[in-house]
Amino acid sequence: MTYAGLAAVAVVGALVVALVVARVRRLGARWWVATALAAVVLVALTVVFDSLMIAADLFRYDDAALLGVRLWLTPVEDLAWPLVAALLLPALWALAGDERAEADA
Amino acid sequence: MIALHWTSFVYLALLLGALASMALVDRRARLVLWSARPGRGATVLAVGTLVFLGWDLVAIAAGFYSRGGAAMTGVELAPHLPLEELFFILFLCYFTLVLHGLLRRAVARRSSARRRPALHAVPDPAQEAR
Repeated sequence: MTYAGLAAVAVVGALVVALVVARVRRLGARWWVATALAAVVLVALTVVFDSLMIAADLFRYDDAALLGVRLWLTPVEDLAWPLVAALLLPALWALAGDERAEADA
Repeated sequence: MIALHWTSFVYLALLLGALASMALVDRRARLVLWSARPGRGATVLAVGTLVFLGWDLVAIAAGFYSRGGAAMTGVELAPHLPLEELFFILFLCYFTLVLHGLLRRAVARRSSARRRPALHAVPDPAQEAR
């Protein structure tokens, strides 16, 4: 498996969780708008900070395992991190409590 | 013997500072650990953190990436998984929850303002904090 394969599995998994939770908790269009906006913000911040972290040599990649597409220094596969975060965390939050029952939407 | 230099703590200190800043935002907006149910926030943060740590372990075991040569404390949770990564992941999860909470409120305010402009012409922070 390549890093892209792992990243794809993670994104699809998070998307499935979000879709299931959205159905169970009856999350509407507003929740998806907020999720999409969060994803855009997180992806943009990831390109900046992942690149800075790579420049600082916090971690290194095996180039043979990468697709080779980079945004600044960020391998495109790493964008799966913000996508999974934006889908999974809000979904887990919604799953852990009934928003409408608590009037906490 | 491990030679510790102040630079070994820069990344960890930055992460802890970022986490503390996020806690301040959270405390003010009452979204996650300062929400009506802090246990809910703690549980979601724990589960999310475990998911990303698992992702790291799989990717490191497969050889996709490894720790670099930058100065860190040198404490590792697993081979090539520095202590700092735990705090990075925790921050990512916390930031995501706070950001999503703020965006949910902004989207809700926007659509209700469109319906009842007069009522929402002046923002009411006390009301929003609930």
